[in-house]
Amino acid sequence: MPKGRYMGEFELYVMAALANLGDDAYGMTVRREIEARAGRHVAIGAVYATLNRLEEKGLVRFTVRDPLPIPGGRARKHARLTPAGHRALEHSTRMLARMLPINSAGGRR
Amino acid sequence: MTPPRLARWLVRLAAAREDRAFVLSDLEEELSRQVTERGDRAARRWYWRQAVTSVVPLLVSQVRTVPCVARVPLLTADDWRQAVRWIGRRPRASTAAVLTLAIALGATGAAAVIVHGLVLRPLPYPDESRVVHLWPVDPNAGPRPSRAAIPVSSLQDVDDWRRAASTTSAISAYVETTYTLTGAGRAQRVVAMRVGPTFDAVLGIVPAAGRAFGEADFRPGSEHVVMLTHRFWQRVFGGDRAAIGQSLRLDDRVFEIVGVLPDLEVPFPSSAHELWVPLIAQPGVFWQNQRGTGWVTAVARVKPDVSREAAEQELSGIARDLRERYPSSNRHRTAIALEPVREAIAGDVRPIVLLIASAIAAVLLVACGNLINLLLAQAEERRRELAVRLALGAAGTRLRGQILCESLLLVSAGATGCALAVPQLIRAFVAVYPDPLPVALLSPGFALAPFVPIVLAAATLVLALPQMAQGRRLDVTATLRGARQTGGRSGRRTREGLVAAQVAFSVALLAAGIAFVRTSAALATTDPGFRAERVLVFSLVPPASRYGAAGARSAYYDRVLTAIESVPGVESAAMAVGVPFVSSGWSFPVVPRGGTEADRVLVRANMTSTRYYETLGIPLMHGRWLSDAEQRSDAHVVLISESAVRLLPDPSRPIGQRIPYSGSTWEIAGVVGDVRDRGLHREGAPAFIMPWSQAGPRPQTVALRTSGDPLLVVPAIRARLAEIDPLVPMADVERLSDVVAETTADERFRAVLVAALAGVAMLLAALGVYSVTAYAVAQRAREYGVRLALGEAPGALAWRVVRSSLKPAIAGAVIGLAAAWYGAAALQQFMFGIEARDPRALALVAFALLTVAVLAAVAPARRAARVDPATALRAE
Repeated sequence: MPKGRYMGEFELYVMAALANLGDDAYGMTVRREIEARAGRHVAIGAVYATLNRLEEKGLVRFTVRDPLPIPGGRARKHARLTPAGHRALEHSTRMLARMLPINSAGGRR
Repeated sequence: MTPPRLARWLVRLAAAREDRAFVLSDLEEELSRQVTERGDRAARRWYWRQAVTSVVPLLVSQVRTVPCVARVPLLTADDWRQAVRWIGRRPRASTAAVLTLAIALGATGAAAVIVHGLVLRPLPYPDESRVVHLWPVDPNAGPRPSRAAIPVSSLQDVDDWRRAASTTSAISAYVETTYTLTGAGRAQRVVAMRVGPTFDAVLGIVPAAGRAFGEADFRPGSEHVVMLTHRFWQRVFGGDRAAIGQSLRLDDRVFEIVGVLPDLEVPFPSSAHELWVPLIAQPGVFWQNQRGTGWVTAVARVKPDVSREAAEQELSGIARDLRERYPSSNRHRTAIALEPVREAIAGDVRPIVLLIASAIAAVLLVACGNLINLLLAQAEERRRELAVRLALGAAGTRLRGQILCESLLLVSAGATGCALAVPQLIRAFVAVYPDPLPVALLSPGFALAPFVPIVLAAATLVLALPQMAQGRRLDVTATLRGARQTGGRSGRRTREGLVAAQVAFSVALLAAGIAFVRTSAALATTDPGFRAERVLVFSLVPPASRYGAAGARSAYYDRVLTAIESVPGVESAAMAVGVPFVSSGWSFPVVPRGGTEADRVLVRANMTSTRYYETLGIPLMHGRWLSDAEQRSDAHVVLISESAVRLLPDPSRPIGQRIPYSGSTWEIAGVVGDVRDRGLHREGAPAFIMPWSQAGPRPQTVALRTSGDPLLVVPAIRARLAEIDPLVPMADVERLSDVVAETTADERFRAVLVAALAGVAMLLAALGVYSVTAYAVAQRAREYGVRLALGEAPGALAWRVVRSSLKPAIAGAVIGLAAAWYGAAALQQFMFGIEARDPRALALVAFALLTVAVLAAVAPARRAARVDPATALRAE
């Protein structure tokens, strides 16, 4: 990976959330997913800012879906990982696993 | 539920246009989920938190995308070059602007640092606003005693609260005590805090070394453990971790050291304590095991997601249950009031902060007036330059860029000056300040950092916006055609109006400053009823184990007094249970003659050795002193103070009257002068002074009068006392005059700070008068030339200039005087012994300001008188 492609911690969370959510990924579900798993407050603004940044890097693609045909249905901007995004996520997790001490995965908590 | 409007607007504002709708609809969707899951209030709070925390990331991500969308950088190198050139071409105006900025920002910055450091600084505990005192109160019995740092809770109650409460994460209690520490160097008194279980959790601290107290430490018999404060650890053990496990000998008992507290700048509950020991009700000590006895102070930490009101409600409910169960002891504990401990320590700081903040705002406004005036003065030149450049094809954005660059340059120069000045100003403040200050707290710390960019941005905008607006309104052709306006009537009006406003603010501030200085002076010259100068005080507590018997004790005291009086330089020495501002006996209520229960007055009981009155210079008004024999007896004779006389059944002849106290009658032998022992600003308590021998084992304060500086005799006295008994320490050694001065430190603080700010405001107003006059002179040089050519005397001309500059100053002074006159009512709460509304002081203020205004106008006026008619006319 060339220099400058390292990913921030939060970017990694967002990409992992996208991978977990699949088709159902948009701002609020991503936010909820990270908040539930990481157990910390996550601002919607941070999610959007990160998604935009990832899109600029070509790791995420947006599709705008029409409102659901029910009362209160809203337009949503869904996000998916691009193939490059999948590769980057996989690469990062592999690198992380390689870098971390062997037993730390659940040993320290 | 609809989202909170303000929060929604915040998100709207921050989000990029293409994301706006999605972010808002996402938030709304989640909001309705939050409402069903957690209720309206929590959902609203959630929305607000989302909005606030989203602003920064959304804005940052926008900034990152801006350069891609519009590839026009805001400021070009050319803008900077033009700005530097413009500033360089008018050094006087630029210097004046930079000076104004530096003075105003520097003075207000220093004042803010001082107020923050001395008044506002939060306690060094995590989430300190959740640490609260719990006061059991009876709302039906009138207002609760505020900030009563008086122990009012019983340990039994506190234990029950802890068991029942769910809105707090920890509840504990404390009570202060002192021990004699022996074995570590010479014997000394140390202040210790007896703390209940989980006191560390209430404060949210973890030991720096060793451990905190555990449950086992609160069992009777195993409570002889101690935690050291960081300071004590450093002082006695040099910060050695080997101290853990060692022991301290306190009041002849061995305590094992189990832990060290973290290093805290502002220690709670008192700044003096050095040790923590477990607080338990000693078995066999009757009153400590009574639920009815209030002898500890309760503290709690409110849980993070619980409001103070909710906790108050729950605890009050618990208190009511306890009242049902224990109707006799808990009759008056019907509710529990929560009060953040910071308020108990700092008191209600709002009035003083409001006061200083208003003074700061006034100075800033005066400075703003100066800046705007300077800009208006440049307006004419500016208009021509802008017109030429616009005509030559410069884009509007370029002009705005240049103006912005100029403002940024001026503000940065001013800010640099301010940054250089603030530490010096604080140092100067500490130097002129009459009392010792905790200098360590006066660093322009991180807490003020967030305000720096805000203030700088505001200053830049104040400078730039009016000029930018002017550029937009410009009529290029008319300006270039040479329609040279001489400032114009409306321009002059605005400038004069600004000067008037500056003078008005300065007058009002100066009037306040004088009122504070006079209050401080009035306090300093108040007769306290005793003479504090050249008096040394210290406390002496012989251990009960060896001096429990009355005979041993009085023999020891006699030897001590004789030894002290034999020290060269000591004029007289005495002991007392209560010495004003140092120690006090106890008080008992007396209903005055013809009064009801509501009028009762607290009378202070005291016991003093014979030479006490001579030592402190308290006069005998009537009757006689107590004889030596009476002092050593248990005779029922007393001295009373003058103010106690009016409480007697027959105030006309106090001597020989018999009055009841404590189950017997006492004969009045003499009447002594009143002493202001509750602060110099109020009358002292009436006193009731019994023979000294009846003090029993109560702690004694020694007072001695010396011929020179009282601190010089301390080593000799220490040596003599060590000869008598090396295990009784000399504690709390102080000059009585220092103790008295400390009681009025707040008043001096206000006086110095407000007066200093008023001085700055006056300086800035003078600068304003100068710049407006100078500008007017420059504008009207031609008129003056003509006048001089037609034969007007230069002196008369100069006077005309001064007079015209005085007009706005006089108008401002009148407005300022009116403001000071009506604002005095608000200041009166800070005053002592004087009226804030004082015509003479106001007259003085007005005179001072007008004098300054005249002086500021003199230089430009002389320049006007020296105008050379030929040059002035040729220039046209």
